[in-house]
Amino acid sequence: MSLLRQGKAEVLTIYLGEADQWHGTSLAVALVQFFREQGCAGATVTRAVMGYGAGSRLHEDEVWRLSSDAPLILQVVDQPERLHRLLPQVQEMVSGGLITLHETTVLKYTHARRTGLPSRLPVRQIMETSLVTVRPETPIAQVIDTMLTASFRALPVVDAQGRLVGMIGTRDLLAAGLLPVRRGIARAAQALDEQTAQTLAASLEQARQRPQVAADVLNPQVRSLRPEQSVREAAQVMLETGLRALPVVGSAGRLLGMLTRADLLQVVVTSPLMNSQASSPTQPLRRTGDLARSSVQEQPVAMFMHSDVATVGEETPVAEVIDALLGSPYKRVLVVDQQQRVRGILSDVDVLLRVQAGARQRWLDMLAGWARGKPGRLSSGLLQEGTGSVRVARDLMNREVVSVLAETSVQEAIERILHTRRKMLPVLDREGRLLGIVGRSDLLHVLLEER
Amino acid sequence: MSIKPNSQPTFQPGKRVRIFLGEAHTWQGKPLHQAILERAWRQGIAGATVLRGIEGFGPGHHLSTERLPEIAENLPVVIEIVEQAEQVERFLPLLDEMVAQGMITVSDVRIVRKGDA
Repeated sequence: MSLLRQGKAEVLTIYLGEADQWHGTSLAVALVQFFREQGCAGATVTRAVMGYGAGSRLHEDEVWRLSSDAPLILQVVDQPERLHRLLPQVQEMVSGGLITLHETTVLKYTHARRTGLPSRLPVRQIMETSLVTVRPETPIAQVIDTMLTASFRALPVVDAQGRLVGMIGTRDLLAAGLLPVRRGIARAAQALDEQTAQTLAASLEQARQRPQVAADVLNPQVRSLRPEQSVREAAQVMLETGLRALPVVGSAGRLLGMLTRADLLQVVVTSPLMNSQASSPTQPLRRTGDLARSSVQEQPVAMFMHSDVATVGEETPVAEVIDALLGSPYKRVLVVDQQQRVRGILSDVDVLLRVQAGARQRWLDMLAGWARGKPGRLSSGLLQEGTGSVRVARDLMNREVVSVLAETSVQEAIERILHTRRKMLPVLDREGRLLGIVGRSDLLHVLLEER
Repeated sequence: MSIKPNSQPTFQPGKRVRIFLGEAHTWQGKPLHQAILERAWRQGIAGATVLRGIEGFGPGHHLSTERLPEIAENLPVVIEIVEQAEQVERFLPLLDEMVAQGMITVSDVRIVRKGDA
């Protein structure tokens, strides 16, 4: 018998209508997906038989009547901090529906602890089912807009019967000259100063005018999974192909869901409710210190890291930093001091955010050149004008580095990388010196070693 | 409609236990939610209600939804029990043993009873 575990938690209850929509899908489905993506402990939707007042559409008329669609109740039990953090986004989605919070005590939260990726767990149990798709005849303008706002980097194209015709990835749009820079950069640029946003908007506007449709740019050679395939097989396919999301296709070629690398890593994450430590972005994790480690997941993460990390010094001139960045396999550069202690981290987005406004356009041009496979010589030209305060790596770097210690277990590294939504984590020794780097694919590899 | 009250309500502290399970979970060959109901009844728990979810995920993070027949075999089930604290205390050890996967929460409620006239 396991011990009862005590914990203060809160219950978030949302009253909504079955017909309520969010960005083209059912609101209830979208909310469940949102809570799942955020690593919440669990969510349950129940359907009531009759009611009024729930759902956003009913408030419009003053006449008393029962809701025409069934009222739904969605309940999420989780740590108060997480629920409170998610509330603004939830409110945005629910727009006017009733939301309540009350306290409860969790006596137990448990599931069979998983080691490795079980060969008996089918893909259909963990895939995402709330999808944004386009049709082959969807105009290119709409494809571009959908791509920039959707939660997946890869956009499935389905026919009228819901059968998968192909996928459109950022790479396909880059290759067709329809997107000037990768999605993350485009999204960051849209949110920046007006001039930068306009630069991007202008080049997107050109692309929007093009006569193409989704069918012209889609990739028909799609690796897909069947719903009954095991998560192990799925991980193998993902690592073989280097793809980070795969469509799941059922009978008659119908698209059922998408499976991401994060979904696979999530399989071994045990209790998000009890594990508040992994979600703290800057504190080093505690040392697990257990000598008799039984499974691979208990092994120290240092065993699986790469040591070929691109580093620069705090005083490295910006032009050199950028050369290092574009040449690095993870598209990240770590900024270290003379003792190799990590001071900051840099990605292409960090450069865009921190470079002077006047130089942003040139940075976007340069990235666009790279995306087209025409890197050109970058070096000093970029930031010479208006350099002023942005001269060296220190001026560009992001100081909030989420890292793990060498002795941190693989299990905790997975929890941390998912909760902080990072793609990779620097691995440090106890003095904060850089030892290596571990990425999501590396961690997925480790899970496959577990039999 | 006019109703003449014969008594004033009294309030008694109680607990609401919620048990979150998957529909496919079993206990000694029976659906787990059914087994819990039977045990609760045998232990003198006054009442229990089972709600079936239409979509959700739980501790295993595996989605189930009635929208897709492919993943509808383990829909969420919620059992609600409202009882006095002592009765709940007595039932918990057995409940803990029965629920190998899932979540149990307890909140305070006031049970409304009929007082003396």
